[in-house]
This record gives sequence, C-alpha cells and structure tokens, in this order.
Amino acid sequence: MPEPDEALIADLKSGDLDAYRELYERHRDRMLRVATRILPNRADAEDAVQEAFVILYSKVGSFGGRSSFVTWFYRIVVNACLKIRKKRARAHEIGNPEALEAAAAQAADRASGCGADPALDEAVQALDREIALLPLRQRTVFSLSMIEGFSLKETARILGLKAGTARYHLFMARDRLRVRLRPFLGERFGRDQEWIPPSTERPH
Amino acid sequence: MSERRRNKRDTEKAARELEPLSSIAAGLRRPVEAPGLWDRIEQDLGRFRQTPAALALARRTRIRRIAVSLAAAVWVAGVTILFATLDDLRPAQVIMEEDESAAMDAEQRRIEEELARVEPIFRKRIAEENGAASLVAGQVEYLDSNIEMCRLAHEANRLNRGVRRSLIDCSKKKMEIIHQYLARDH
Repeated sequence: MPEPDEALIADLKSGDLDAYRELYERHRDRMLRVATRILPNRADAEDAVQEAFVILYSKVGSFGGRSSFVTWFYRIVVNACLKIRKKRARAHEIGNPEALEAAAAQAADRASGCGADPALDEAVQALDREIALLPLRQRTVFSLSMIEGFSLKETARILGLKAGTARYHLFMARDRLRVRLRPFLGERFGRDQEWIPPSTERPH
Repeated sequence: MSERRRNKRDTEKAARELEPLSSIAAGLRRPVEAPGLWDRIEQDLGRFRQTPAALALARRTRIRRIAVSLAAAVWVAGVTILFATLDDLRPAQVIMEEDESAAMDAEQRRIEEELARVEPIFRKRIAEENGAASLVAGQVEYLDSNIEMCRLAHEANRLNRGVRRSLIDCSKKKMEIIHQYLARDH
C-alpha cells in the first residue's frame, strides 16, 4: 500500500530525496493538468509546476500540517500559474480573443483520439475545448473539482475562495457547459430528463 | 440545519446535477507527458544544495558569461555597421590611386612585420600570467576578429580605401596595445 503524502513529507523533511521523487511522480500529472487549465501555453504550465516543486523542496520545513498537504501544495502551483499569467496578461498574451481561440484549439488537439470509444472521444474533445473558453475562475473550479476530483471544500481552499463562491463558479461552469455540450449530453448519454435550464445571467 | 448537513446536502445535490458531465470529464484525467521536467527541477534544486564556495563560483561564471555576451553583441554590432558602411561607400571608394595603394601596402607590411616580431612574445607572456591580463587579451582578440573581417572585405575589393584604412588602423592599434603591454614590468 502506498505511503500517504504526509508520511512522504515527513521523510522529505529529514532529507529523503526518494520521498521527494515519489511526490513528484504522484502529483506531476494532476499538477500539469491543473496548470494547463490556467495557462494556455504548455511551456508556461511546466514552468509553474517546476516552480511549485522547487518551492515544495525549499519550504517543506515550514509546512506544519495544520492544513492538508494537497491543498497547501496545489495552492502553491495555482499561485505560480497566476503569477505567470499576470506577467503574460501585462504583455497582452492572454485574454485576447485570438489567445482564447488558440487555447481552445490546443485543448481540442490534446483531447483528440485518446480512447477506444469514438463517441466519448468526441465528447471529451468538445468538453476540453469548452472548458478552455470558460472564464478563469469557472475553469479552475471546474477542473479541480470535476476533473481532478477535489471536493468543493478543497477546491475552495486551493483557490483561496469561500466554499459558497467555489460552488457558484462550479454551477456557472456547469450551466454554460451543458448548453454548449447539449448534443453530447442529450443524445449520446441520454440525460435529457435531467436537463436544467442554464442560468440567464451571463457568466463573468 | 447544521452547516455540515447543509454542506453534505449541497455536495450531493451538486454531484447529482453534475453527474452528466462527470463521465465525460473523467476522460480528461489522463497522464501528461513532460519530458525533461524532472531534470529541470533537479537542476533548480542544485541551487539549494550548493556550498557558499560553489555559489561564488557560479556567480563568477555568470558574470563571465554576461561579459562574453556583451563583447559578442558589440562585435556583431560593429560588423553590421562596418558592412553597412562598406555597402554605402563601395562605389565611391574604388578610387584609390596606385601610389596611394602602394603607400598603404608598405604601411601595412611594416605593421605586420612588427606584429610578427612582438606577437609571439606577447602570447607567451599572456599565457604565463594565467588569466591575470584577460582585459588586454580580450582587447587583442577583439581587434584580431576585426582585422580578419577587414581582410576578407579587402580581398573582395582591393581598391576600397575605407577597408584598407580600417585594416591598417586595427592592426596599428593591436600593435600599440602589445607594445604597451610588453613595456610594462612583469
């Protein structure tokens, strides 16, 4: 049975680099996925994850265990992403319509042809593309809770939001995605009976 | 209703409402390839493991690299300006008379003979000083590259006065620096 993260952190505090490598292997994929949701550029996302792991190494001594390791660590990566994003936004490389379209196209490429079921593949690809077009808060809340499996409470902590605010953004994202993904949800997955009209308020 | 119960109810409700999207969202939970990421992290970690001596060495290396980059940038700018000037001047400068050309040849020959005499001594001293005279060595190296460049331009147009003048000036400057250096007590 794998050691829990907290045990690896204790090992790392005593200088065990194998524990550090194990934490890297364990969290790399999830962190990169979270980072690529915030930063459309893959190289930037890798930079953010790199920075988060270096911070983990240098600041592990200050992690007292009062909060969960996962929320502490993912908050670090989210902050690293936001820092890079701010820099890019100043250079007008993020947030303009071309950048959004490029991010969506990149997302679609990423998701293409990943499974055995072509119908599911198509839906996954469409979802990936639509997530890329969501506003940042909705996108991150949705990714953390729906894709990465964090609870709403954990998601809120990672993003420094109140639980109610995280829930609000999650539902806004859901409304928008359900509208955009109606063909996949309705016809292919038979969920029409669960259809809830989307919010009339424009997400922001 | 307690906050815990309300939270549980809301979470269950949210899960139910989001369920149609969950099965698709699960498809996005894939491994991500990041070749080289671990190596880069390890490299960064090196900073925390370095001793003060290693850090000082790294700082010196960094300063040396910056100096080399600056010298390279100056050289590139010099080459660009020189070639741009040559392009502008080429038609007007093909006017060297034979006498003038012969005089310049003689001057260049004289400098080259002197350089052939003093340069080996200079090189030997520089090598013996083991990097202590790197400023002078760098200056001579810079002039060497300019001389080489002028020579190439001169080959292409032997009657260009400007090129010829530059070749002589650079060679003369190199000779002066070497003389000054050799005149010092070592």
